[in-house]
Amino acid sequence: MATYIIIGLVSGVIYGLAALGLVLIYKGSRIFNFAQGEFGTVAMYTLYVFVGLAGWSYLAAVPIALLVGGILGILTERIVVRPLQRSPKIIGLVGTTGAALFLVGMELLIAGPLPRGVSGAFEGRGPTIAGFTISKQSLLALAVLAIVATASALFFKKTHLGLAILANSQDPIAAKLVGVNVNRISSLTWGIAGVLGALTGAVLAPEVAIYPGFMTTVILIPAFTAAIFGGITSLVGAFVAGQLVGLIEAMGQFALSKSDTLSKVPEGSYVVIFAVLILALMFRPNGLFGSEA
Amino acid sequence: MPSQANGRGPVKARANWKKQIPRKLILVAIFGGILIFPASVSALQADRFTLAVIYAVIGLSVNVLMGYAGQISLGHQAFVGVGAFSAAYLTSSSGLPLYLSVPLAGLIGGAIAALLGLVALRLAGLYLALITLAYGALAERSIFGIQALTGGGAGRSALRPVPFTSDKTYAYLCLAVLAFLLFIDWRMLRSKFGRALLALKSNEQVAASFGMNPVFYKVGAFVMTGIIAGIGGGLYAFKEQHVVSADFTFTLALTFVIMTVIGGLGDRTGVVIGSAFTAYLPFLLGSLSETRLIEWLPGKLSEKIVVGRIAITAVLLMLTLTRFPGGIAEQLHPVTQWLSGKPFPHHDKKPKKNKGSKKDDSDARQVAASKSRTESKVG
Repeated sequence: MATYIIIGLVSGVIYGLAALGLVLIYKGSRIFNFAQGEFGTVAMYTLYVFVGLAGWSYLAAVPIALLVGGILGILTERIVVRPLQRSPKIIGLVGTTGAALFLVGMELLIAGPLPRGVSGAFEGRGPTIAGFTISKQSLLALAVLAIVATASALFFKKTHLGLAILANSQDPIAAKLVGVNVNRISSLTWGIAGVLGALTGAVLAPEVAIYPGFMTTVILIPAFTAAIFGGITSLVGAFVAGQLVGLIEAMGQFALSKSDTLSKVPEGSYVVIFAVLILALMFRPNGLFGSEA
Repeated sequence: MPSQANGRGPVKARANWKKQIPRKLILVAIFGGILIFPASVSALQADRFTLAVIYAVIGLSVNVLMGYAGQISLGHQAFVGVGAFSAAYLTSSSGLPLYLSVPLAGLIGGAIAALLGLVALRLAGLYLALITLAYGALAERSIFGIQALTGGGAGRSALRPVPFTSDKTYAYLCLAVLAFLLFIDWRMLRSKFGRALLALKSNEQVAASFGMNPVFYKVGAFVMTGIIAGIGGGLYAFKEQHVVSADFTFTLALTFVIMTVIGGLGDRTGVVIGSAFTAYLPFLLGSLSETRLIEWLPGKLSEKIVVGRIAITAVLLMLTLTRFPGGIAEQLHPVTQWLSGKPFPHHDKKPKKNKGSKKDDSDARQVAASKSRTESKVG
């Protein structure tokens, strides 16, 4: 039981981090970015190239992965999102799924379908709590999430740039009238989201086997659940709800494992996540911390 | 394209009768070519043709939801998978014959889609897209892995019964099903149900105030989508004769959406062409890699070009969304109009609001058409 809680919190960190990027995009462009996961997978492969193939250290390669993520974000905005600005939101969304599919396709083309591994920054094991050993990498992820969530919350509250992004999302025309460069702001938002997506991938990379489409299949849906559960516009909400979704997922798996019939259902975490998503959307569509902007 | 040739009086129709002959000949040639194709090629080619036909069935299913009802499904691999596993289960466990198990697979698919339709009553747009994506992942990872139903990772077999054991006869069966579904789709869209769907898509409040029950029609659209996808899945099961859960990945779901958009949302001719093209793309790329055309590509890229189909469909999607929102259907519109007996429509110049540039006529029409398309696309 205690082990499940720890597992839940550890995966919750990753969900929270990925959800931050989704919330940022929603605040900036009012669409769901289905390519957010693939920004992370591409960053993972970038790490693989520099750490696994070129023999760099993990920490030296991370900035490059983040840069790649940022560029991907900006390119997605320029090639996909901006031309579809005036189309219905759903078309924009189909566009971002297209971007995701393109990235998956390129990963398959260049890296092939075989899983890859990246060695992390730390040797040896981390602290053991309740019989479950937390890797130092997970602690790093937690620290990164805390810093990023605080920084981005401050960014939107305190800086002109952050306010400009919010203004742009609420009323692009009014924002334009008061002198906000709407296009540049949009690029910036997507660039930051790309970096966040890459960061998620980068902290997760040493813990998993990387394959094409990894982040989209494994992380994207729990991350969206966290983003919606937290109130799709709340950065703090995404942070908290990420942890909650991780916890609920682990507890659900624990409950499923206790039942004789239900334990025969493979990958029970998907069932739990789907249930949380449906219930959250049905009964609390504004999430826990939801508000306008 | 439904035929509307007899809009004029009988006298004029008789005067135009001779002009219609080449068009009818071309139509006969096209349909005749499709009919003869499976019989005249190798079994392997017939099998590929069957896949294209099944993709067309799935494309029609996506089109009901996206093109007519204005909803979106990013989990269509689950709809198709439910049909495939139902058909395989019914055949291998209960011993039902093909002509019962495929329709039953359609019904099961419709029933499960209805559940998702109930969710869609509360949610629309982005949220519904997310739910369907999550449902697709749930089905792919979890439901399709349940040992008792799908045989776990090992999958389930669905052997074809006697008259359809050869790939060629099976191709004809699938073609017949596609023709039947096209007919149903055509009649459905012309019925009260179809008109109500389109009305609800363009403005739900207005349609509801005219007495159309949004609940009934929305769930109805999901049921119809589920039935067609289930039939497509059932046909797929018997084509492969062995279904495994690994067949139904989320990239497949995105491919289904993309092929429908590329074909042209709301236009069944375009959807069939777009779907068939998408199904054939890997084979086309495969034969391309055997020619000398791409020898200049570095390293092993030329051998791996088949894998590139995913990226290629994504690029086609972007081109369709940003440049040609009407998809293949829009591009073929003059030809289909002409074939259905109307004049070749380059005569009617409609330079409505040419966005200020010196584009030629076709561009102007493109812009006008694309505008109406985007507006009518998805709400």
